[in-house]
Amino acid sequence: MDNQALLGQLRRGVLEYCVLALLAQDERYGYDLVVALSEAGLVASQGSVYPLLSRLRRDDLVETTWRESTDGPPRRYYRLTAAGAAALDAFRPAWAEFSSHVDRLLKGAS
Amino acid sequence: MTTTLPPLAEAYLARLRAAASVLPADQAAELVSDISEHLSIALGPDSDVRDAAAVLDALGAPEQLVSDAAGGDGATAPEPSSSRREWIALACLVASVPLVVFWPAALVTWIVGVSAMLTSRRWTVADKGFGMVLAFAPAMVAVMGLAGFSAMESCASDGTGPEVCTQVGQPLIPAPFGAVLLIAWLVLAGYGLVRLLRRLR
Repeated sequence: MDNQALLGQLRRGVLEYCVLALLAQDERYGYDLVVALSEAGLVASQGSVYPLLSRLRRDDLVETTWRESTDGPPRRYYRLTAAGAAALDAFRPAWAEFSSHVDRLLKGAS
Repeated sequence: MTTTLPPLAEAYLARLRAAASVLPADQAAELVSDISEHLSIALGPDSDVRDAAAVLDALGAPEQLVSDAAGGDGATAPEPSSSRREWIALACLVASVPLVVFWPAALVTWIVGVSAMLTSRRWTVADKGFGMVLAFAPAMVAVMGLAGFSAMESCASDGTGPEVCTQVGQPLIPAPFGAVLLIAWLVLAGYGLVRLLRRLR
């Protein structure tokens, strides 16, 4: 398996929680989220973030509002819902436990 | 304020619109709107062909975005946006209500309806949660029927005096609690039905 395919598999399960984590800090518009995720090396293709945002909205984990912008068309802003915050709260300890197990195994194997 | 996109970006959007025709209409419109917004922000008025090519390359192929939106992993083409399964689910759940008078038929219809609903790819987990509230319809009808039957009055007359009526049973559910339960269920089930139908437009 090449490096890109490996990263793709690793990203698949955690990307939505990274979006929720970014929105826990502040509400953001789509492009802003895409740039933040891209700079963190969490997305292979930037466009794939939009279907994910759409799914999170349909699952009521985020909600959106349209805002006028001074330098372009109106922007869709995303904000965490109570259900989204609860999903993120549940993910944090699960991820900490999961990553510590993997780290321990990898250290033992090296 | 409107933004004019470079021809390369307009061609990308046209490709995306064509590919997105396999998605439900609202999902396709949302995807095209999101990508248009992205391009408007990423490509300023001074952007040249090279800038446009770099932005479009970073976005990924339109067909891949549509595949992601359809829930695929990109290895296969998205399925056509048929909603036959969802209509079968709703038809079976509705049909199971009058069939309560013959419970085996109601049970079979209900199981088919719930299975179709839970395996739907168009309805989200939250939609299915409200769908399950709606699926309680036959049970609610049965409980209300039993409650009425159990509280029936029996009247008799010995021929010499007025007819004497006595209550044969006790209501299964105390009246105020039953009414609150019924109203709460009606509100939730009504919202659930509207929500499920809205996804099929």
